[in-house]
This record gives sequence, C-alpha cells and structure tokens, in this order.
Amino acid sequence: MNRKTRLVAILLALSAVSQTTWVTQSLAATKIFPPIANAGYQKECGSCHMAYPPEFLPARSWNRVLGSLQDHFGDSAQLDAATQQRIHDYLVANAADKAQNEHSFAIMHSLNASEAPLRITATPYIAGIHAAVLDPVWGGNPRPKTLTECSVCHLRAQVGDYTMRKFTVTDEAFRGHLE
Amino acid sequence: MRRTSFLGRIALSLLLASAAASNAVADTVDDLLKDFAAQGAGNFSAQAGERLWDHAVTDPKSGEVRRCSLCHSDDLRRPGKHATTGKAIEPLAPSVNPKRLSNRADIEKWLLRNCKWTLGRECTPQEKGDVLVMIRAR
Repeated sequence: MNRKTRLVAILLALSAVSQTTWVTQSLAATKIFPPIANAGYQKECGSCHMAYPPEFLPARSWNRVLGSLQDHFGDSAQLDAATQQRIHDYLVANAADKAQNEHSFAIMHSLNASEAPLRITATPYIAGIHAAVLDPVWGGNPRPKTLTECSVCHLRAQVGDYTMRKFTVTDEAFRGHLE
Repeated sequence: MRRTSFLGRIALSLLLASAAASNAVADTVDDLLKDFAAQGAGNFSAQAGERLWDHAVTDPKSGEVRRCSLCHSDDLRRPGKHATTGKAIEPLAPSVNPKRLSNRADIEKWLLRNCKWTLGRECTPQEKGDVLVMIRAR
C-alpha cells in the first residue's frame, strides 16, 4: 500500500465513523415509533382498537390501564393473568418516560409528575394538538366523534409515523389558524 | 397431463385444508358443549341462541340499548364494527371466516367479555352453548 492509498483509506474510514455517529444520534431521538413488537398486545388490545404505540403514555399510566381492565372505558377487557403480565411488561418497558422519541419527550414535558392519564388524548400535549379537531367550529373532513382511530387522519399511523396527516378544512378562519 | 395432476393436487390440498378447518371448528365447539353439559346445560338450540342474539338490554350507566348485532351487524357473514371505537370486526360466521370458533381460549374470552358488555352479566352455560350452536351453523 503506498502512501496515497493509505491516506484515502484513512479518510474513508473516518467518514464512515462520522456517518455512523450521525445516524446513531438521529436515531436516538426520532419522531417515528418503532413497530409494535408484542404479539399478545397486538392481538388482545388491537382487536377492539388500534394497538397504540406504548411510547404515547408514561409507565405510571400503563400501570393504571392494565390495573383496571375489568372496566376499560366502560367495556370489559379482562385477560388471563399471564397474558396481562406480558402485555404490562412490554408497555411499561417502552413507555413514554423511557422512549427516545420526540413525541414522548413532548408528552412527558406536558405532564406533571403526579399525573397519570388513562387516555393518550388526555395528555396535555396530545390534547392541545387535537383540540381543534374536536371543536364544533371545525368543519374539516374527516370529522371524528372521538380520537380512537389515529389512522383516519394520520395515514401512516400503522407504521408508527404520525407526521403525515390528511384532512380537509372547510372553515376559512380555521384554515388560517392552521397555516 | 402433468399440469392437470398438479392442479388436481392443489385442489385436493385446498379441500383437505378447508376440511381440517371445519373439523377444528367442530372439535372446539363440541368440546365446549361437552363442558357446558357437564355444568348442567343441554339440548342446545340455534333458535334459543338466535333469541339471545336479538335480545336488547338497556345499559343502566350509559342508557344505551345494546344487543349483539350492534357490533357484529345483522348478518354474521358480514364484517361488523366496534360500537365505541368503530374498528372493523371480522365476520363471525365460520362459513366465510374459518378462523372463527377454532380457538377455545378466544371463544371463552369473548363470551365472557361480550356477555358482560351487552347483557350486563355473564352468560349461563346454556346460553353460551345455544349461541355457539347458532354461530356454528352460519
């Protein structure tokens, strides 16, 4: 190896290292949620509603949700003890207070330490963003009654991407607010 | 010749697979019916299952009138829709959805949860047997 090739090789290696660092840094805090990685959660919770990314609620909220499945927003979502424990462990391990995700940071930042909401849409950050959609003045399409199914507006929600949205705002004043 | 025998093999394996699926339904439901019989139930009837299916109950908390078809639609061969969340529910009839009635734990889980939500109480072994016989025939 002559001097020139050695120099090129060193430069290439250096650029590879710096690129890897850059990739690692941007992965460390992303806006995209990883896919749901628990078959039990997908099956048991996802048959009645979308299996929400665990990164949307702090562990203390998931503890409350899993501890009150007999009355899950008026419905019985009872599970056998073993399944319930597995789902609990998955949700808590990936909760908003542990996730390296920009949405999770914002959600945690909006909550007091004593607050443990049962609904994702009751966290101040998510509630604030969506207040317009539930306001009677909103003339948009779609016009959801509740916010249970994220994919109605967030077209890529199923792959953890909430950045892309689709709605039509018919009310001019509202449109002005959003733009 | 070779082509027909290849197609024939595909047809045969499809036939066997669907037979296996319907056997799974029959076995699972029969096992459950035996257990219900051991708890004192018997003479399970699709008509009785149908009556329970159409039975409407007013939920004292919300004032909603609830019945099975509220989520499962009036035709079991068609998809339903969750009354609260609006999420699609796959058809219940095994004739169009062979996965149905093939997993014992799933059947028990849904009968427990859904009787509680719809009727405000757990179903008796007799009622569960009647409803299963009714769904199986669809």
